Amino acid sequence: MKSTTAGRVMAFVVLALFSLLMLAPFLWAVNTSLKSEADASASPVTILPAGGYTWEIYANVFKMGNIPTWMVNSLIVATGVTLITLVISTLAGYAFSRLDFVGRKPLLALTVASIMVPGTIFIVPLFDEMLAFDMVDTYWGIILPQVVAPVMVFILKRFFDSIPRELEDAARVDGANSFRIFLRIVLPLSRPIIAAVAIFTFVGAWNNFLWPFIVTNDPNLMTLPVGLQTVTNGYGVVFAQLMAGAVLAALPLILVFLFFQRQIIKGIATTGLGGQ
Amino acid sequence: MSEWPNTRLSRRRVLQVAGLSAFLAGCGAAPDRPDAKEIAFWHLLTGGDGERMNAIVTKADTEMPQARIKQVVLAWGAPYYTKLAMSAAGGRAPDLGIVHMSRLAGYAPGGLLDPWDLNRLARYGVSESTFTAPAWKSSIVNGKTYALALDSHAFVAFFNTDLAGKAGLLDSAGKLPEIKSLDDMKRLGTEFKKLTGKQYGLAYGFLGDGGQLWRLFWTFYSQHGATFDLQGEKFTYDAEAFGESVETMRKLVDGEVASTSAEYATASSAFLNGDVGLVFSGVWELPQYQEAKLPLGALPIPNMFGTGIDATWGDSHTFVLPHQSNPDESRRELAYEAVSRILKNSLSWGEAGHTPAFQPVVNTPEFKALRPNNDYAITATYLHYDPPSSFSGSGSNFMTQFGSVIQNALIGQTSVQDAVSDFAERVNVLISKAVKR
Amino acid sequence: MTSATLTKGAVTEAPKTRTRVRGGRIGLLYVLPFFVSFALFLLWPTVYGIWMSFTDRDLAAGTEPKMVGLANYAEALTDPMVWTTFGNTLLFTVLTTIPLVVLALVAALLVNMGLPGQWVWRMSFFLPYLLASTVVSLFWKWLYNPELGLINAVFGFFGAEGEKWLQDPDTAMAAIAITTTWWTLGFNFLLYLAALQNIPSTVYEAASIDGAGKWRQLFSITLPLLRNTTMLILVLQVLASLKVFDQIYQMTSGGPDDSTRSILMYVFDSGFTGYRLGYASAISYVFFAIILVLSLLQLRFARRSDHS
Repeated sequence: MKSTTAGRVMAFVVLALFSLLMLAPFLWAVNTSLKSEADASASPVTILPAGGYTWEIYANVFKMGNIPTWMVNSLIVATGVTLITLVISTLAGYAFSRLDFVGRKPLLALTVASIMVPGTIFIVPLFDEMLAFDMVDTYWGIILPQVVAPVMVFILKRFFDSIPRELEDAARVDGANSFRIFLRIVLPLSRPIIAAVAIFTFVGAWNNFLWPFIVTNDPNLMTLPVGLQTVTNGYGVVFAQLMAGAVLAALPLILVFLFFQRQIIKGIATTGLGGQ
Repeated sequence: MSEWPNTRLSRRRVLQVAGLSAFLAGCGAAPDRPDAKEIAFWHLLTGGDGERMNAIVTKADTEMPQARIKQVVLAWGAPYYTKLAMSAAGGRAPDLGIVHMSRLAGYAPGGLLDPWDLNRLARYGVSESTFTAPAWKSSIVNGKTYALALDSHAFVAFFNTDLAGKAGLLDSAGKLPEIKSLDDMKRLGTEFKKLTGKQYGLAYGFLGDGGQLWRLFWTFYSQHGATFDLQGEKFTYDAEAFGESVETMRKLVDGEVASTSAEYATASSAFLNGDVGLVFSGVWELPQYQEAKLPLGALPIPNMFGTGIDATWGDSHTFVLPHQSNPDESRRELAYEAVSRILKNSLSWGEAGHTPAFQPVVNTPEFKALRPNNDYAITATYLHYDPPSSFSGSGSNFMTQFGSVIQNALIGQTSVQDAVSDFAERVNVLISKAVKR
Repeated sequence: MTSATLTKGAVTEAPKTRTRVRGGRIGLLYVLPFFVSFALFLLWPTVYGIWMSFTDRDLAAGTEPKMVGLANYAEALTDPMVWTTFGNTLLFTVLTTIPLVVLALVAALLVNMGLPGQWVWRMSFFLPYLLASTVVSLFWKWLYNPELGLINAVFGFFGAEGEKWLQDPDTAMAAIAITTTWWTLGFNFLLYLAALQNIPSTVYEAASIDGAGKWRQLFSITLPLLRNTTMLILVLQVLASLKVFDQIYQMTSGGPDDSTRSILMYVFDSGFTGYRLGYASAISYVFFAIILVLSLLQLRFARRSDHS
């Protein structure tokens, strides 16, 4: 779309301002976290701290020892959820796509229908169920409810549908059974979709707040978003500390993004994965 | 799709960061004492309180080599209480917890707490005689003792003796002039303002804070000799006392001598920075002010209504045993011992601003020598707890709702009368919606 | 439960040749792990929740819950708080959906112009989307602080009086809506950007030759071609907004004065803070019924517009 130079300059200015507004909250949090508490709560508000910048707040945060624990928990939970979801969803998606079995149609319909059901509505009975299974305050209690991903099953099924069958048919003629075909032929061809599913599941599990919040009370088990929200260490003047914690919590996924930009962008653009 | 610019992070860098994080995670854990059993102790004490409790617990911990007391601090108010209830329901509750006395009515009858065994307590030197009568009485529900009071803590006024002195307000004993009415209080604020040249002379943090609003209100209301009944079919209260108390609060923060929009934290900062001369605050803020080396004085909130009644809002932190479906008896025993040691070491809790409830500590000369604690220690004798019910108490929805409604009256969004009737309606809804046990 | 959802029409249709492998039990083995989890953590809670809603199940009591029939439903339907929170949720949905569509589109259009600094623009729009709700709430609570926050400081700089934002019932919901918009803009932005880049430039060239100016092209060509994307975004947005919980719980706990309390928050309050799990279940199902109706309406609407 060609446009005049004046138009482009205007657009550039607008874009830059818009962009700055988007980055501002994050930049302001970082700025605050590098001040001392006294400077952070100084009135009137200034950008530069009177006492100069300092790392002491970050040092305090690490000394308290909570954030590293929560990061490890988030890693355990997110990895567990991702691995299990991947395995069961690819198996199911492949079966729906390629295998005929009793009840295939109704089960598929049930899966698709359940996508419309926002699971967060059933937190109360799910919590009660966890009580019954004695899984409150356990890793499995956090992980297991999150591995049910009808959306992923559906997306994987559609992807498998789009793989030409000639390769599989040829292998079948050679005597390979369906599992070998699945493992040796279909999966290697599905790397992009599997990567996308893996990344989105990981990001979703890492950032998930509501369910982990409900099912964990023991701070040793809390994931990062839950711990940061629930456990406090200062009622009063701890603004810099709060910002430091928040910034630290933001970093891991930003790193993931920098690493996996392509897959994330492609995943959203081509399948709409990740709608919250 | 057009090219997304390629700025991949090198794998090596990522591995370095991952390694660092893992190392730091390891750093968080303290070296383990072999055979030491971990006692999980939940509380909601932060800021100055948190530091003191930490010191006391650390001392108790070193006195008990067979245990490792692990403290867990959760956000004050509903988040803490909801999580405590959920964990007790889940049966994997912590070994020891702190619950405000004002919340006991919501926990004890519901089976969320296990009662204290008086015989076991006696073995550690803890019994009825070691507590004040009001504290002991309030801890009994259905004939069993569910709570052991650590302290009584009130809502008072702290003032800056330096500023007060410079403004010529202190008498020969270093005390402020007697305040008999709101005008007297405002005059005090004006004097501070004139001296500092700042916008305000007094600080009261209340914005968005149901607890703060409740504390000052309940003080004023109790000073009228009135109370609430929340355990009947309908909410009963003294409308005139209610209205007058709120009106007094409104006039206090009308912007003349105190900010119309101060939050808890900002009021604290203002007092710490010397911008105001007096702050209405809970006694638990004492360490924070002392640490900043503020020249500190304190006084109970005066009765400005001419009723001659001494009253202050107050509450107690109490120790409870959250319900466990399969309690480990050795850990339980350690919890009993831990409580007794914390109580015996609670002198420094007194230094944190609270008035300890454990009588053997209160009766020591060391405690009697603490300043400015002595200036308000008397509040323990006329402490007014929150009205009991299953839905009220420290940090409850009742308190939050009170805050929302009354705040509107304070900032001028509604009239005082409307706020009072609005609140009464809401309480009746709360009563009707309360869990029936 | 995952946080991902599905899109319609964004994936190309699979070829229709269907030769499935016979010998039908193996397939069951493949889907077994998924369906066991599905049954355990999605189906069973749904069914169990219905049962719970007919009882007075108490979080605390160890005793057996009593059946109370339809009492919980009667209470839920006449509970003013249910309707207040439902109204709040709807208000939140409207306040966020409109900016999230419009601003995302504007951002995508601007970025699509190919101005220098592409990586900076895309990063800044998408970065917030990667943050956990807790982080977003912490950042913005700090920004909204009436005395020490950046927003009121900027207001003051321009001589305007600041607002009380999260502490004022009149501004709290709007404040949360602004935060939510900032947070989730990036996702819609990417969808629009991808769609824009799929429009071949020949379409625009042809229009230019015919004499159509830039703005004309925008309204007559670009926007109509983005219709599918817009519909998709609207659907996802509305469904997500209806179950809002995180940022409201974290920023205002539903206050001030219940002005921001969403219906899911009320479910949480009733069940976990108020101990009444049975009642909370009933509210959940009333809400579920409403969403179901809305979803079915949306499906019918989409199907009809597909046929047109």
